Amino acid sequence: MIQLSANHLLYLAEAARWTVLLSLIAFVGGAIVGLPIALMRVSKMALLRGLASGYIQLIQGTPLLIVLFLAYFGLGILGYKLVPLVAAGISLTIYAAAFLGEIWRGCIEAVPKTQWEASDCLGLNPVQQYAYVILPQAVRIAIPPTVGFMVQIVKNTSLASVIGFVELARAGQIVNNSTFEPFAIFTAVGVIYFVLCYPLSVAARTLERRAHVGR
Amino acid sequence: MSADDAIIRIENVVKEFGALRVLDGVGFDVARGQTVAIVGRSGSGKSTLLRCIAGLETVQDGRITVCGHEVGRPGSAARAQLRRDVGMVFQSYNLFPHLTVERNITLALTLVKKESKEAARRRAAEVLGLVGLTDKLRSYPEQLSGGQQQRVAIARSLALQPQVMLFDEVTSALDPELVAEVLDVMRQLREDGMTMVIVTHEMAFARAFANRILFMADGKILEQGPPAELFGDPKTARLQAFLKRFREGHQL
Repeated sequence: MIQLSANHLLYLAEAARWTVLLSLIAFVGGAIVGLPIALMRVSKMALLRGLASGYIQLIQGTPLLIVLFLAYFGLGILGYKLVPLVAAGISLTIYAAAFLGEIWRGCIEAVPKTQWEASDCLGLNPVQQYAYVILPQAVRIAIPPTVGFMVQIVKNTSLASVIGFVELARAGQIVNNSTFEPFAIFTAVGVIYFVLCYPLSVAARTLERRAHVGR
Repeated sequence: MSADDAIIRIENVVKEFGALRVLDGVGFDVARGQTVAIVGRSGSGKSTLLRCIAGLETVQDGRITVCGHEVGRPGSAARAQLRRDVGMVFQSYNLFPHLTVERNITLALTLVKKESKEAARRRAAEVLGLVGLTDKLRSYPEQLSGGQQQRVAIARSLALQPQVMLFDEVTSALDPELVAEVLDVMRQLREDGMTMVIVTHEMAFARAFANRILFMADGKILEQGPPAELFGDPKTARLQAFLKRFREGHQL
C-alpha cells in the first residue's frame, strides 16, 4: 500500500494557494460588481431595478458549472480563448456579484426608513445620505452574511477543476491518478478545504453574535 | 393676523394614500413666533400634515408655503431652501446610531452648511448646552436615555438654525419620567421666540404651552382656537368626546 508522500502533500498545499487566489479574485470581483448591483436594486429608477433584478435572477437560476463552461468552452468557440484562471475568475465574479448584490440589497433595506427621513430633513443630498448615514449602517449589518458567503465561494472554486484549472480539487484528482489512494487523498483535500473555511465560519458566527449585541 | 405675518401657510391641502384620503382640505396659518399644537386621535391625519409641511410627503392638492417658499416644488434648490427653513423632530428620535452625539450634530453643518470642523464643533457644544447635554459629546446614541436622545435630536435640528421647528409626537416613545426634560427644552425654545408646530398627545402641555390648538378628525380641522376656548368650551361633539375620553384616561 502506497502512503501519501510529503511531496504529494506539498503539491496539494501549493494547489491550495490557487484555491485561495481564485477565492480572493471571486470575492473582490464580486464585491466590485455586486455593490453597484445592490445599489441598482434599491434605486428609484425602475429600469435600473429591473436590470439588476434580472441579472440576479438569471445568475441565481444558472448552475455555476454552466457559467464556467460558457466562459471557457463557449467563448473559446467564439474565438475568445481564455486561460483557465481568467475564465474561472470571470465566472466566479459573475456568480459572487449576483449573490452579494442580493445580500447587500437586503442590508441596505434593513436600515430603517426613518434614517433616510432624518438625514433628508437635515438637508443631506442622496449621495451624502448613502455615504454618511445609510451605507455605514448597512455595512455593519452586512458583515456576518458576507463572511458566511465567502465560505461558499471557497468551496465553489472547486468547480474550476472542470475547465482544467489546477486548484485544490483538481490537484487531488491528479495525485490520485498516480497513487490510486482516493480515500487518503480526498480526505487530505477535504481537510485543507475545512482549514480554509472553518475560520471564516467561526468569524461569521462571532460577527453575527456581536452584531446582535449592538454597536 | 395679516398675511405677511404668516411664516407657515397651508391652503386647502389634500393628501391621499391610494384610495384613502388622509388630509381633506386642511388650511391654517402660523405666525412667526407662534406655537400651534395639533391634537386628535390616532389616524386623524395630524402626523401626515406635519410630514407634508416638512416635505416628507407630497400632496395631491392645495398649497403649503413656508417662509414664502412653496413646499413640494420639484428641484433640489427648493428642497435645500426648505431644509434651511424647517427643522423636524421625530417620535423615534432618529439619531444616527453609528455616530457620536457630536458627529450627529456636526454632520449636516459640515456637509450641508460647509462649515469648518472647528466651527461645527463649537456649534455642537453650544446647542448641546441649550439642551443640557454638554457632557455627552462623545457618547453614542444607544448610551443615552430616550429623553437624552430626544434632546440631542432637538439640538441637532437647532444647530442648523431653522425658522420653524416641527415636533411629531416627540414624547410619545418616552417613559413618563423622561417626558418633562424634553418638554422643558421646548418651553425654552418658545421663550426664545421659535415658531413651532407640535403634534402631541400631551394635552396638559398643549393647553399650557400653545398659542393655538387645532383639533383634527378624519383629515379635517374640526375646531381651532386658543387653548382656553377649545378645552373650556368645545363646540363639536367629536372634540367633546375626545376630551372626555382623555380626561377619563388620566383619572385612572
